[in-house]
Amino acid sequence: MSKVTYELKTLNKEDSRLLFKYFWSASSHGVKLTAILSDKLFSGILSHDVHASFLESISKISIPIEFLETVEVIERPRSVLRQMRKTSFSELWRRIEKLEKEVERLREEIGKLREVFVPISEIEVELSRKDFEGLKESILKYIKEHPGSLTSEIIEAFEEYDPLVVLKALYELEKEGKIEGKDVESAN
Amino acid sequence: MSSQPIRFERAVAFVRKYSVSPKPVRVWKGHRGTRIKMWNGFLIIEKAWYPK
Repeated sequence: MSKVTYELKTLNKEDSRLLFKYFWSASSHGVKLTAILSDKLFSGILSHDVHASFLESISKISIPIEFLETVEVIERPRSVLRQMRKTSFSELWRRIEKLEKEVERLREEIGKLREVFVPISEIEVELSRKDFEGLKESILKYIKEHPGSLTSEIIEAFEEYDPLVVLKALYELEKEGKIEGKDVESAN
Repeated sequence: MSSQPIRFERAVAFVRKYSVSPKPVRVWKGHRGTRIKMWNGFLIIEKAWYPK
């Protein structure tokens, strides 16, 4: 595995906290990191319980090149560490994981909503196609005569028909671009 | 499935059976209204229809 060695000459508390976070996320993704602590080589996957103060005296770290995208040389640790934080794969991984969880949650929600809603396109019409087309024409005529009619008013006007059949007719007319349904704005 | 509220401005329900609460109930925050329990039916969110 190719490695890049960075010199960390000065490292204040803020930097060490940042580095600690970085090490934590890297190790949680199984990325092998190497650090030289007071001239003593520290290698391997850093455990999560490494205290930030432990990192304060780090003089060199070695990071697998695959893990970084753009960082080249650490001259000013604070700014580069910030950049590492922005561009590191661990950050991207965290975002991907977060988005995956969100997608999973939305999928679950869609599934639940599908159970509740009756898909209009799947409503079975117990009418011949000719009669259904006749109903559609009558509804279109009614809407032209009474623009702004509510769904329930149309259902009432055609009460000899099943409400779901009227709904399906409205759905088809809307799909054909002959009518337009607008949200009712006021509750009064 | 957990209980999901469906927010609407106007809706109509077609149900086999219903019961209306005799006294006003809290709808949300300070808003009071009526509670209607319904059995076996479906709820249609109202729309205003216009010719194109």
